[in-house]
Amino acid sequence: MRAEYLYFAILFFVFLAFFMVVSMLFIVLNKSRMKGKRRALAAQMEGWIMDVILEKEGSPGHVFAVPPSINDLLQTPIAKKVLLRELMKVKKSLSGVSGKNLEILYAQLSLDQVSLQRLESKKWHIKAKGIQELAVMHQHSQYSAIFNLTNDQDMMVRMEAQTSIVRLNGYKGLQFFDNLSYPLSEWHQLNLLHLLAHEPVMEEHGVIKWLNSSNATVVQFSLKLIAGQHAIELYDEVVKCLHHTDEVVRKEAVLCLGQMPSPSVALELNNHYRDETDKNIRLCIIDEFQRVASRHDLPFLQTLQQADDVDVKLAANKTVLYLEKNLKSL
Amino acid sequence: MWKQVLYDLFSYGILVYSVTLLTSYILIGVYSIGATRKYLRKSSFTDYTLLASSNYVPSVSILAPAYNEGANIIENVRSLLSIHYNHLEVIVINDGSKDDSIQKLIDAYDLEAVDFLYHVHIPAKPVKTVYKSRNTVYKKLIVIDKVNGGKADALNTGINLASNKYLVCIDVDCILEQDALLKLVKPFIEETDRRVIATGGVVRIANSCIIENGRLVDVNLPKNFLARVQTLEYIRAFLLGRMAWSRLNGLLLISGAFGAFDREIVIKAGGYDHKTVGEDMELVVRMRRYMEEHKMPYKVAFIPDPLCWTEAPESYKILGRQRNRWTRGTIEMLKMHRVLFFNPKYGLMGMLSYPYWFFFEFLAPIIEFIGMVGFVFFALVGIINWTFFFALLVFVLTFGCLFSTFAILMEVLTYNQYKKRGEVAKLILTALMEPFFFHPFVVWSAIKGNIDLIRKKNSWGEMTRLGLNAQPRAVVEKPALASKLRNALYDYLPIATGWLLLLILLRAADFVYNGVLHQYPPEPAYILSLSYLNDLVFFFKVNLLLALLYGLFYLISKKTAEITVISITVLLTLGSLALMQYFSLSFVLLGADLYGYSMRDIKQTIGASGGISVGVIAAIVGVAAALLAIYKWVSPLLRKPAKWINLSVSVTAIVWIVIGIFSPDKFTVRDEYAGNLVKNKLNYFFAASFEHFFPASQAYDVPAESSKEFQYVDETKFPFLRTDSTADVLSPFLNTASRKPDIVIVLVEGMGRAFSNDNAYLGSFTPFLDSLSKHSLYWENFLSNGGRTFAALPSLLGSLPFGSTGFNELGAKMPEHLSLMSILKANGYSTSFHYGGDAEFDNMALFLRKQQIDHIFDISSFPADFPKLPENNGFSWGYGDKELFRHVLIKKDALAPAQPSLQVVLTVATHSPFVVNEQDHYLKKVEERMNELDFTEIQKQEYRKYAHQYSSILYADDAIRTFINNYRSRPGFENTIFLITGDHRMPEIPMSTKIDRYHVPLIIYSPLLKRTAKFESISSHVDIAPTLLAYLKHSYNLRTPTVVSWIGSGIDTARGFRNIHSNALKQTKTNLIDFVSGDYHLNETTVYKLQKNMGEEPETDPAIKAKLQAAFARFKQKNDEMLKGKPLVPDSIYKEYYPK
Repeated sequence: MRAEYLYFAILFFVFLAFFMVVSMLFIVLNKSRMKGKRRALAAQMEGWIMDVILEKEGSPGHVFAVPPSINDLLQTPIAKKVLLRELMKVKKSLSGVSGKNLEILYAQLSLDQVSLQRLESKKWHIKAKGIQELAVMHQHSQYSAIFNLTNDQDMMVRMEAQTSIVRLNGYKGLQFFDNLSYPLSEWHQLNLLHLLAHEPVMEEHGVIKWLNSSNATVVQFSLKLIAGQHAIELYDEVVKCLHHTDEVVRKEAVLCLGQMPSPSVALELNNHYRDETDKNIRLCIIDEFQRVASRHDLPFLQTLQQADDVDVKLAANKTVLYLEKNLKSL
Repeated sequence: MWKQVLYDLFSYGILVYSVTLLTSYILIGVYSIGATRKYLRKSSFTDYTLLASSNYVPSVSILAPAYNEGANIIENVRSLLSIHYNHLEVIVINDGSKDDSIQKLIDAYDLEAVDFLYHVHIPAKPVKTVYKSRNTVYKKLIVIDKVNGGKADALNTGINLASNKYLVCIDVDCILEQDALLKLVKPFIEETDRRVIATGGVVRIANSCIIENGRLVDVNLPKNFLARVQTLEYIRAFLLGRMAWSRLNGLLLISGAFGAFDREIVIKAGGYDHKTVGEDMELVVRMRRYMEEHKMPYKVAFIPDPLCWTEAPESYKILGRQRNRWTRGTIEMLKMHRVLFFNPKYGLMGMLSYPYWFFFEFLAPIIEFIGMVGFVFFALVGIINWTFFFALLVFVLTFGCLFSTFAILMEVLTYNQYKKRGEVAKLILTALMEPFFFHPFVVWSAIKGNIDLIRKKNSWGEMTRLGLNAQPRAVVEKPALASKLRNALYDYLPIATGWLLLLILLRAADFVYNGVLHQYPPEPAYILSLSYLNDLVFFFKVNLLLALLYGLFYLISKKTAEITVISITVLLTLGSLALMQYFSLSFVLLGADLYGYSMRDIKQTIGASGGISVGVIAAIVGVAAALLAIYKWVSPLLRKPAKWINLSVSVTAIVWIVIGIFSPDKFTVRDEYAGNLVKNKLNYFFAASFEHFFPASQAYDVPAESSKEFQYVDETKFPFLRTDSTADVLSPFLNTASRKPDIVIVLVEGMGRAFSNDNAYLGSFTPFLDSLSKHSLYWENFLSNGGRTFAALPSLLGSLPFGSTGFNELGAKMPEHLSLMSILKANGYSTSFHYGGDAEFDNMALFLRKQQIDHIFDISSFPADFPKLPENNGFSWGYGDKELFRHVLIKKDALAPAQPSLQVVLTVATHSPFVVNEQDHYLKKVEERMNELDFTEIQKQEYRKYAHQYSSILYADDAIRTFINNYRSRPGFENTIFLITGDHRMPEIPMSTKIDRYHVPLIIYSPLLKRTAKFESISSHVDIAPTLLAYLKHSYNLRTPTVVSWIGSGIDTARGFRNIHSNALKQTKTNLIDFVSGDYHLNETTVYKLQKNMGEEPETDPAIKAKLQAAFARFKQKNDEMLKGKPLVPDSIYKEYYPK
C-alpha cells in the first residue's frame, strides 16, 4: 500500500475536522443570533399579548386591535413563529376568558393556518406539533382531522392526537379506544389520566365497553380510571377482569379493587388468590390486603406466612405486621 | 527476508486493525445522530413534571452505597431526599465505613434502629442495623449499616432490602439534574412490546462547575486539563458511543454512577458480582443473558440527556488507578461471559456487542502498545518503512482528532452545555492535545490493568476526590528574597517545561514533515535521537538565560516575569519554525548568510520560493496558539515533575556538551541532509550570528612551508599576487582558428553532478548534456567554489577570493582586480551577461560593471512577448531558460560578426520554487526518465517528492539542447567555444556528502575540438579563467599579465582521479568552512578523504588535518589581508590590462 493513500485520508480528515470547526462556529453564532432575535421579538410582543389577555371576553367575531409595529413584525415568518410559541406558552397556563381571548387572537392572525400546514407535514415531529397547537388553542373545527390521526401508525403522532382529542373533548374523546389497534404505553396512560383528572365523572356505559375491549391496555387504562374515581358501581365489571387472560389486566384489577370502598373486596381477593397462577399478582393481592383486610382475614394471611415461597412468606409477614399494628390502633 | 515478511504482516495488520476500528467509530458516530435527534424531538413533547406528581408512576428505590463519605454524606443524602417523586425510597448503605458517616446520619436525620423484614435474595455481607427516621419528613429514607464488603456487596444488600419495582443505583457523591430520576424512569413505562430492564443516562464531568446545596447551578468547562480531556472523552463515549449502541439495543454498560434497573430481573440474574471490579457492566451483561436465555423480549435503554455530574480525577495517579480498574473490569466481564463470543443464540449481544468490546475495547490498547513496541523493534533491526510508519501514525492521530471534533459538534448541536466564551474552542484544542498528553497514558494504564489482572491484583484502588464543594485554601505569606527567588524558580520551571514540550513536538513535526516532504534520513531513529540531544542542549542554554531573566523580573512582579519569558519563548519558537521552514525549502541551514543579503534579495528569494504562504502563516499562528495553550493548561500540571524534567535535561545537555568538547567527531553525521537535519536550527543561527558579529580574533598558525604552490611576488604587500605559471592545457585539444574564438559560458543554476551524466548517483536527468559531454572535453569531478550563486561570477570570471560575504558584496570597497572578462574586453572582445532574473541580485551587475562589461541583459531587457516563469505567491524569478537562450541568440545576431565575443549566460529556472512553463510536460518527462533509468516503484515514490526539481532540470537540459542546436546555424558557430557548468549543486534535493553541494560538471564543447576527452581529475571554477587566458595567449597571442592574483592554478587535464589544487570553498555568504587540498576535504573540523566517485570517507590522521587546517588558515589570512585593504594587483598592472 502506498503512503499516498494515507496522506489523502489525512488530508480528508483534516479538511473534515476544519469543516466541522467552521460549522460549529457558524452554529454557535447562529444559535446565539436566533436566540437574541427570538427574545427581542418576544419582548416586543409581550405587552400586547398581556393587553389581549386582560381584555374582556371577546365574542367569536371579535377582532383584537393589532398595533402597527406588531403588524409589521408579523410580516416575517420568524415573528409569526415566535408569536405562536408565546401564545402556546401562555395558553397552556391559562383558562377562562384570558384563554379564550388567546384562542380568538390565534384564529384572527391565521396562526391556525400555520398549525394546519404543520399537520400536513410528513415529518412526525412537525405533524405532532401542529396537532398540539390546534388542541391547545381549542380548535374544535379540526376535531375530526385530529381524530383521524388517533390510530396513526407513527407512535408519536398517534399519542399526540389521542392526547389532543382528550384535551378537546374530555372523556368523550376516549371514543378512539373503540377502534384502537395499538397498545397504550403506561407513560401515555399517565398522560391521559392527568388530562382527565379534572374532568367530570365519566359515563358508565362507555367504560363498560372499554373494559371488554380486545386491547388489554385499554382495559388496563379503564381500570385505572375506575380506581381513580373509586367507582363502586362498576365493582362487578372489575371483578370480571380478575379472570382476564392478560396478567397486566388482572394485576390492575387487583389494584383497582384495592381502591373500592366495599367490604366484600377482601373476600373477593381471598378467593381470587387461590385461583391466581401468577406469582406477581399473588404478591400484589397480599400487598392489597394492607388496604382492604380486616381481622377476619388474618388467619388466611397467617397460613401464607407458612408458605414455602420466600417472597410470599415475606409479603405475608409484612402485611400481617402492618395489619397487627394498624388494627391494634383502631 | 523473514524479517521483511514479519514486518509486512505486522504493519499491514496494524493498518487493517486501525481501519476497522476507525470504521466502527464512524458507523457508531453516524448511527448515534439519528437516535439523538429523535430523542430530542420526542423530549420536546414530554412534560416530565407529570411523572413527579402522578400517582401512576412505578415505585423506585434509590440505592446509594457509601464508604468513608463522612465529609459530604449529610449534604449528599439531603440532595437525594429532595428528589420529587411519589413512590420513592432512598436507601443509603453504609458499607462498614471507618469514619463517622453512620453517626452523622443518625444525628442529622434523627434515625432509629428498626426491625426490617427482608429476604436475602442475593448473598451479601451481614447487615448490622437498619435505620429509619423518627421524623416523617424523612420517611423515604432507609439507612443500612452493614459489614464492609465493597461496592457490589453494598448494592446487593440494598437490592435485598429494597421494596420497589425499579432500582436506581447511584454514587453517593454524584450531583443529579433536577429531573434526572424522571427521565431515567420514563423509558421503563414507554415500551409496550418488550421489557425495559435497565436504563442509563449521560454522566458529565462536574469539575469547575458551581454547585450549591447539592445542586448544579452553573456549568463550566473544567479548568484542569485532565478533567477537561475526560469531559471530551465522556462526550464521545456517551453522546456517540452509548447512544448508537442503545439504538441498536446492544448496550452492555450502564454507568455505575447513575443507572436504573428492573429489580425483579436483577434478582433473577443474581445481582452484582462482588468478585469483579467492573460490576456495573457485568450486571448488565448478566441481565441481558438472563433475558436472552429465557427468550423474553427486552431492551436496555439509554437517554442522551445529561443526568448526573461527577467529579473526574485531576491527577494522573488517580486517573491511572481508575483506568486500570476499568480495564480489569472489562477483561473480567469478557472472561466471565466468553460463551457470548460470536454466539448467535445471544443475538446482537453475542454477534456484535461482545465482539466489539473484545476487539475494540479490550484489544485496542494492547494492539496499540504492541504496535509501538513492534515499530521500535523494527526500527532497531532497520527494516522499518519510515514514510509508511509516520503516515500511519498521523492517519490514526488525525482520525482521533476528527472523531473528537465530531463529538464536540454533536454536543454543540444538541445539549450545548459549554456555552461560555471560548469553551468550545478549548474543547477543540483539548481534542488536538489529547492524543499526545492523555491517550498514551490511558493506553499505559490499560496495559498495567492487564498486567495487574495477570498478577491477580484485584483492588479497587483508592479513588481520592477533591470534593465538588471544596474551596481552595488561601495562603498568605510574604517571602524573603531567597525564598522569593526560590518561588520564582518553582514558578519558572513549569513554564520552561511547557516550552520544552513544544520544542519536542516541534522537532517531531519537523522530522516527520521533512520525511514526508523529502525523505527520512538513513538510520532515522539515531538521527532523531541526535536531533533531540541537540535540542536539549539548546534548551539548556536558553533555559539558563531565561531563568535568570525570570528571576530578575519576578522581583518586580510575577506577571511581568511571566509575560517577558513567555513572549521570548514564543518569539524563539516562531524563529525556530521559520528556520525549520527555510531548511525544508532549501536543505540548507540559515546562518549569518542572512546578513549577507540585502532585504531586496531576501524578499525575492523567500517570495519566489513560496516561503510565505497561507499554510506557513497558519502554522505560525497554530504554533503560537499551541504554546500559549500549553502554558495555560499543561504547565500547571507539570508543576511537580518540572524540576525533575529540567534536572534531567540539564544533566543530559551537559554530558552531551562534554562529549562534544572531548570527542567532536564522535557523533558526526556524514550524510549532508541528515547532518543538517539533526542540528537545532535556532542554535545554529545564533551561533553563526554571534560569530558574524563578534568574530574570534584570527590568529593563524601558518607554517612557512605551506606556501609552495605559487610563486608569490610580495606577499606582504599583495597577498595573492603571483607569477602566472598557468599551463596552456587546452591547445592540445583545440584547433586554432583564423581569429580569436567566441566564448560562451553557460552557468546553469543548481546543475550538480549528482543528477547529471554517467555515474550520477541520483541517476542522470540531463540526457542532452550527457550526449554533449561525449563530444566535448568533460570534467566529471569539477567543483564550484561557492555553495550558492553569489560566488559563481567572481570565481569563474576572476578567480577571485571571497572577501567577507562574497567578493560581490564588497561593493564600493571592491579592490581593483583583473578578470577573464576585463582582459578579454581589453583585447577587443565584446562582453555581455545574460540573465533571466534581476542582475542586481547578489550584486552581480555591480561586479560586471567593474569588468567594464558592454551589455547586461536581464529581466528588464526582455521583449514584452516573452513569457515569464509562472509566479509563485506573486513572485517570479523572471524568464525561463528557453526564453533566456532565445534572447541570447537575438543579441548574438546583433553583434558585429568580426568582433570576438564573450557571452556569459546564467540560467534561473532550476531555482526554487522550480516552477517552469510547460511544467506538466516536464513532470511527465520525469516519469519517462525514471522508466528509462529502470527505477523501481519504491525509488519512483521517493523521486516524486522532488518531481518539480527534476522537471526543472529536464527543462534546463532541453533549453540548452535548443540553444546549441540553434547556435549551430549562426555564423561564427564553428569558431565558438562553449563552457557549460553548474554554479553549485542544487541543495533542494538532499545531498549525500559535504562536497556534494560543490560537485558540478564542466563541459567544454566546440567545433574547434580536435578530440574529445573525459577527465576524472579535480578542478574548480577558479581554474577556468587562468586556463582560458593561458590558451588564448598561447594560441591567439592574447595580451595577458605575467603577474596575476588568480587563486586558481588552472584546470587539470589528467585523465585519472587526482587533485593537484588547494582551494577554499565558501558554503554560504558567511560560511567559509570548506577547504579541498589534494585528496582531502576539510569541513569545519572534520577531514574527509575524497573517493574516486567524489564520495567521502572520514579521515582521522591528525597530521593530515593539521596540514589542511594550516593551508586553509593561510588562505583565510590572505583573504583577511585583502579585506583590510591590501591590493590584489599593482596599479601599474591593473592600468595596463584593464579596459580603457
